[in-house]
Amino acid sequence: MTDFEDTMLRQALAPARDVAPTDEEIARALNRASQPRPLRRSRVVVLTSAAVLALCGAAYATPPTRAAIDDVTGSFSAWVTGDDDQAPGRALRPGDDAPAWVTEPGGRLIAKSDGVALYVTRVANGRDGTLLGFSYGKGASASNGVGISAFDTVDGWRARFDDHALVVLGAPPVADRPGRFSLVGVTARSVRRVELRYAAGPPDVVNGVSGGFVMIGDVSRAPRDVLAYDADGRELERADVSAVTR
Amino acid sequence: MSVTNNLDREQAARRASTIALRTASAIMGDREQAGDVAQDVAVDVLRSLDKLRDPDGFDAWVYRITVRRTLRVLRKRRSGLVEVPLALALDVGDTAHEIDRDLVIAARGALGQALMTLPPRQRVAIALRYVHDLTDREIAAAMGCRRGTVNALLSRARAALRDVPTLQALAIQTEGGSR
Repeated sequence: MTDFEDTMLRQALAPARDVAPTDEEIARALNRASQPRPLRRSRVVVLTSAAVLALCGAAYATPPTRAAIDDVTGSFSAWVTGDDDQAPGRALRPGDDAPAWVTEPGGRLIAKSDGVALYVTRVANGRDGTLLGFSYGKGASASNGVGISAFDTVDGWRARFDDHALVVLGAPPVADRPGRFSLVGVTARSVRRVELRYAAGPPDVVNGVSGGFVMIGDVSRAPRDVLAYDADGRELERADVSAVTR
Repeated sequence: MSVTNNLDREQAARRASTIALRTASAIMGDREQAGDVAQDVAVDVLRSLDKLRDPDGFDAWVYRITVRRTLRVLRKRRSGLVEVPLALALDVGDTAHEIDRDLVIAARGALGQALMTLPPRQRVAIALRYVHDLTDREIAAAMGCRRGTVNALLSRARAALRDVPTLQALAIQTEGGSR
């Protein structure tokens, strides 16, 4: 493009540079933001069962600003691009009984409860693309199609997760425990504790959260909300899970 | 460290709203629709302000939210083509001091139609470059892609605009005349 065309584009879009919000618009935004956020259904990411899912490539480089933002994707994005100091969860051990597609690319264990595990993997795809994958299920049986896995670019996950501090990935029933379900989710770095609250009675609690959680819930107690807290006990996010087990 | 301690909420709302309004105005060409996007962006920012750990990253963060919100609106209305006259519907003002005023008005008219034919991400890249003067790196951060992708988006957008007959005529007219 010539300098003239460059200048023409700049000139043509110049009016947009002078637009400014009115005081009324600012006041409205402040007012809206101060209202309690309507409780919305949890961000349940629908994952296709069995093996590897989407393989949409495209290279990815973490823009520097992302490290400044504390959200679910931020828990994994640096690791996906090769920063092992930022690795979530812990390295896999022989006893973890993880499926092959998790162990072979050097996946990590994010959380485990009652045999149900949540793994995270990074997989090179194509010339220079790297995909972030989440897999959960019960032991190596996941390789037989029982487990659930999904892969996407970090951008793809970010589009699904928005800026949430907690996202519920799913709540499959626990096969050998009638009336129980495994609540699986991922969290921002700052999340240290997750609670599953019921219609009545004490909540189920997971402490020491590092990037995600697996909880075994009780369907008969009517699960209501899952809440994420930081190290100071501040509530960071609340997701409605009442519909998950219906 | 929380940004909330250092940044006045009203100041944050005004800054976020301004960035979003200018970007969305350039992309959508409609002050009212751009205002809606700006509202949503400002509310998103205010509600998540305590998640921003680095105050220096504020603008980049707002750009990213703005891009996401704007693309969401564009994609929603993609199925039904909406007539959007673009920034050219805004006042010409006193911006025509470097190039002949009539030429600018004509270019705005032509660009208004041409930009609406571009894919949403190309429009976003054009707006970030020519409204906010962001670098490739900053645009990449806002759009969540590589710098190479930004280059490709801008190149394709410019190539498409270069093919607009009215703009070609204007370029020839100017290069042969007033320049």
